[in-house]
Amino acid sequence: MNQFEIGSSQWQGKRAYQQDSLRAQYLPEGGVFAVLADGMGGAKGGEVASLAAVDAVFDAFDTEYADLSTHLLELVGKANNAIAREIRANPDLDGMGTTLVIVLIRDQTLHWVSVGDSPVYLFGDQEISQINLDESYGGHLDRRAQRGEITHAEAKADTRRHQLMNVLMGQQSLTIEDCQDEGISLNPGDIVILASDGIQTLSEEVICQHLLDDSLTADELNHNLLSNVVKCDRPNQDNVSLICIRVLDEENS
Amino acid sequence: MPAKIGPDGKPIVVDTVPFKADFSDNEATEPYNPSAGRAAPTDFSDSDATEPYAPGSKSSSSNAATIAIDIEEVSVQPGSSAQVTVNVVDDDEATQVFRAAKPVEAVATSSVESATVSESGAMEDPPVGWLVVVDGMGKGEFATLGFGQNSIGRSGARVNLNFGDREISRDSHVVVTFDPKSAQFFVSPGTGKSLGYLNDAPILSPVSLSDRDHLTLGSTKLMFVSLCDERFSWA
Repeated sequence: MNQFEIGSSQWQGKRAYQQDSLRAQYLPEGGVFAVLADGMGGAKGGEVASLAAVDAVFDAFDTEYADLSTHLLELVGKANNAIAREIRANPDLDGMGTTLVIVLIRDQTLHWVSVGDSPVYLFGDQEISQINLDESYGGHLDRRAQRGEITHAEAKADTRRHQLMNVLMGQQSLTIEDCQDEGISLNPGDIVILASDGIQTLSEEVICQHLLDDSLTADELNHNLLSNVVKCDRPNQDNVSLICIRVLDEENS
Repeated sequence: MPAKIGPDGKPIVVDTVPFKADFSDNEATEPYNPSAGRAAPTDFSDSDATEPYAPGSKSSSSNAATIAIDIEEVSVQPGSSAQVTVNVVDDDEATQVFRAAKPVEAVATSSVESATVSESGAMEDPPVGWLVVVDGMGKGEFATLGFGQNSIGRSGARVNLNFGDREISRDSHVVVTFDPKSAQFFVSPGTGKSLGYLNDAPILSPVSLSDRDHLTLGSTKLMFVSLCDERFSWA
């Protein structure tokens, strides 16, 4: 009865710490709930922040929510509170934070809420696109370039592209820009990928090439993508985490 | 395939597979092997780890001041469509979660900003014209066009024609632009692979779009109806 197949995997890259946290589960009525967080800050702060956020979201998630958008915003708030609590317990961790992506698939419809720059990709009809808002400074510059306010060359040249304009740090007040509660309808053959930005060692075009082979399982796709990142051999390669969700054909489910 | 639902009917959490970079084994299992480094951006700084945005740090870009103001504006959006306060620890540690008013980082034009006085919020993105489905799946449906660039797609665009025609590109099949300064419409190619047609001619570069022109995307035929022109403007 499940129309989905989920694979979850991660690689530490060339960093001293794995600061990403991720978790995904099948919902009993045939849906998916998946959460990914890319932590930042200090030796162990990033890991603490991302794990606290993912744990808090899973603790608070309730399939019987009254209103989807309110629930999604609540989950982000709970994650942020969990970070605030960790900082209160250990003030040395102040300054740590995390991105957060929450994906909920129900009734073949994809919803998400996103803070930060961890990409969510949707693959379908042999095309891939990042569907959530890239809240890195680079993403912001690219959108300004698209509107003609600056040139693409200026956008690409800025040295602050990786910095985040929106991130959970246990702060008092959060503004959520990207809460997709209306949803995108999914079709058999579509693939949804949640990732930490370490995957962006690969261009969308290269990621798309991997996804074209529809005989591969989600775990195999993850393995191939991570192997490809390894081959790129980037110095200082960031952590890479992947949750791959395949929408199955009727006969496979 | 293993069961995804436990015997108690509860959902099962997926195990995360730790990836081991086993270089010797990769050759055998990998179906696709693009040249190493091809995808790696060349202009990446060494410290591309996650870190918060700090206006003015590192770069002396003249944009810094403007950007900082942008952030301020976002966090005090008066048009928030939902506001949720979550109490977990103490009242004073509650996180206030605000939802930014839509659309996210919309195409801003001076005429839109000066027009945002309506209390209903409808003037945040007022109509400048419509696309009406005159033939194909979704016949009789219509979609509203706003100021600036309107990417026309099936589900991931600013204007979505999701009526069952899978030949329409997901993100951006074509782009319809309304330039408030000249009060003129244009249509240009999108980023998808498929072509759009204006009155049966392929759209290969930006061309002028006039009231009652026909657009064809996939097997869907659209009529363009303009609202803003020499007879009417929102200014």
